[in-house]
Amino acid sequence: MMCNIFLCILQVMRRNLLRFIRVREFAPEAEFSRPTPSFILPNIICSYCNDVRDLDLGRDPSLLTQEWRCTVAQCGHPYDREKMENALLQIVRQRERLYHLQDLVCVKCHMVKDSHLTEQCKCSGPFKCLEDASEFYSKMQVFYKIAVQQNFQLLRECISWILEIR
Amino acid sequence: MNVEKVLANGPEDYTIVQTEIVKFDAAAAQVSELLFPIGLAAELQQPVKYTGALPIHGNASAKATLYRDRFELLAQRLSRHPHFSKPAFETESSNFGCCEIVPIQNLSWQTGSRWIMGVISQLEDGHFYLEDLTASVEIDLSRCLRLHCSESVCFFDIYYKITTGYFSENTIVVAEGEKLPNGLFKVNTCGFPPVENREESLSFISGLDFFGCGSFSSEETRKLADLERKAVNDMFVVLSDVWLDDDDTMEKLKEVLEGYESVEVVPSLFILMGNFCSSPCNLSFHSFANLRSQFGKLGKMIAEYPRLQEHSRFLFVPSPDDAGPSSVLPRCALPKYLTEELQKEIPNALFMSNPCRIKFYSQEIVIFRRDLLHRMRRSCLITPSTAETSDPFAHLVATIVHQTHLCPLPLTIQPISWNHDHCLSLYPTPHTIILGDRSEQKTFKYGGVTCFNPGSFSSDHTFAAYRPCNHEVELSAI
Repeated sequence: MMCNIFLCILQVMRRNLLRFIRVREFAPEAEFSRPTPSFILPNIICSYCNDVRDLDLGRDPSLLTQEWRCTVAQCGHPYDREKMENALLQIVRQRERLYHLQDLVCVKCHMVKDSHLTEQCKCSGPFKCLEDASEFYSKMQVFYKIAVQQNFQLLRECISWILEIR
Repeated sequence: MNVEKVLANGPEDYTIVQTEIVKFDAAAAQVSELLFPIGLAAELQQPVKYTGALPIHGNASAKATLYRDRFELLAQRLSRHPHFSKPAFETESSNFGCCEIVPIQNLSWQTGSRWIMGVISQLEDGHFYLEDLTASVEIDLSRCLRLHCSESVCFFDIYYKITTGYFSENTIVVAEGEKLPNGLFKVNTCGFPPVENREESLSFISGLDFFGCGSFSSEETRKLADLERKAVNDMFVVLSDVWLDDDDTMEKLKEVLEGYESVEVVPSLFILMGNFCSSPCNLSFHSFANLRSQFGKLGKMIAEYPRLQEHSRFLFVPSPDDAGPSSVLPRCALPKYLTEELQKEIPNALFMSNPCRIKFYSQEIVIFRRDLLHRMRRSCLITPSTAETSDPFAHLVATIVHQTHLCPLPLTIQPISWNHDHCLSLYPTPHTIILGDRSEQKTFKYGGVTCFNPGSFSSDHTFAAYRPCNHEVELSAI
């Protein structure tokens, strides 16, 4: 009952907001589309002008298509490809390692598993990974796309192994 | 040497454990149906065969199965040991001196001295427990009798004895003691499960292939063993830590190759283990193109020695710190990007996983590159007993042979792919284990296994030459 009231209020709010930006409620532009996962590579330093910035490799359209260059107006120097590839490779390696070190939590009581040999929680619930394989693979796909687009061969090979792409 | 190489387990690039078989007789058993892992079913009965490859990233139950399988393997082995097995006929004399292992949950209603077996786990910070398939019980590790000559006063009621080896978290131990009213298990004696002879293990598993190269009939095994004994000219040269970016190392390597080029019979196999670069694969190292060209240079260097190029094989085993997808074990072969140029010069060079296994006629050889000694010494919870030996390498070998596992360290120190723990298993005990470690070169025979460490070629300029026909290890330096 309460859920329905909230849904109605939300619908009304959505309609009003769309009206502000002059979009019809059921127009195709009003439909929600899941954005591509974002991945930010922090602290990229340009060797030319020493500019430091974070790059959103998942969502920035210019980074997805072209060669990576420093975006400072007077500079425009391309970033060192080897350093970029290595930065990405280290992140991939770290994430892969973390997958195998992650904790398991009980599905029922959400307690972290402490013992090693038990197959069930004390509350008799089964365990699940904090980050399961499919989530892990979808995060890795972002890196794979980047490796293919920017032609990072070593990175591509390593991620292909992780994702078991033949 | 007339050989037929059979690479098992599916597509070369993506197998985690590549097993290579050196077979003389091509008519011997085919390995078409090669099973990837053989796990143990929960009820301590039949081993379960999986066909096809298991995913690299396991689900939640795979993590528990990893520990359970390791435990069950040792529990099964222990139950066959005469000292620990229950006597078939209940007589007066049989009850005396019988050390039957009881499940830990039985301790809650049984009294008196009992034998238990469990994994040492740190379930709470600073508190250690022995955990088995049924329950866990807290133990006190601080009161351990270290058999030094200098200790003149020992309180036998609160101290207990341990056997040789590194007792670290995650190792499986057998302990004798009594559960106190406060819930603590007072340990009197503590040790690793006894080693099982290779022949006994083989007779129990009766033809199942745990090594990964197919099973042979006893007739074929005898023939192979015969051929193995006659293969006196075969020699393996093992080098570990071959830094290709270090000029000094490359010069010394050149000297080694020159030396072997001029001998009457060239070595049949050169095993070159990582690290292949002086800096490990981390954020500061990024010159992969350089590394690739260095592999190419190595290929050209080997190609300068025609006899070696023609009659020897070159095997490359990467270390977890070499460039690759991860440092999780087992680790896949070196990426093709790095090895393409070398492969052009030496087309029959082999790039194997870490750990990897070789079968030489009937001899099983396991190769593993990891700086284990340093890590085991650091994660050891009790100072090793010096009653039998004070050689750290001997303790390490004793640990891995008793635990039937190449790396019984906690997963936080050395992560292992949950579905592929069996790749590091040493059951049945192989004939030879080549442990690449950066500590000094050593060799040690224990429980029927010949184990040696060639030492770091780049730091100490040491390597090893191994003759499989008589298990002879020659530790050399240049």
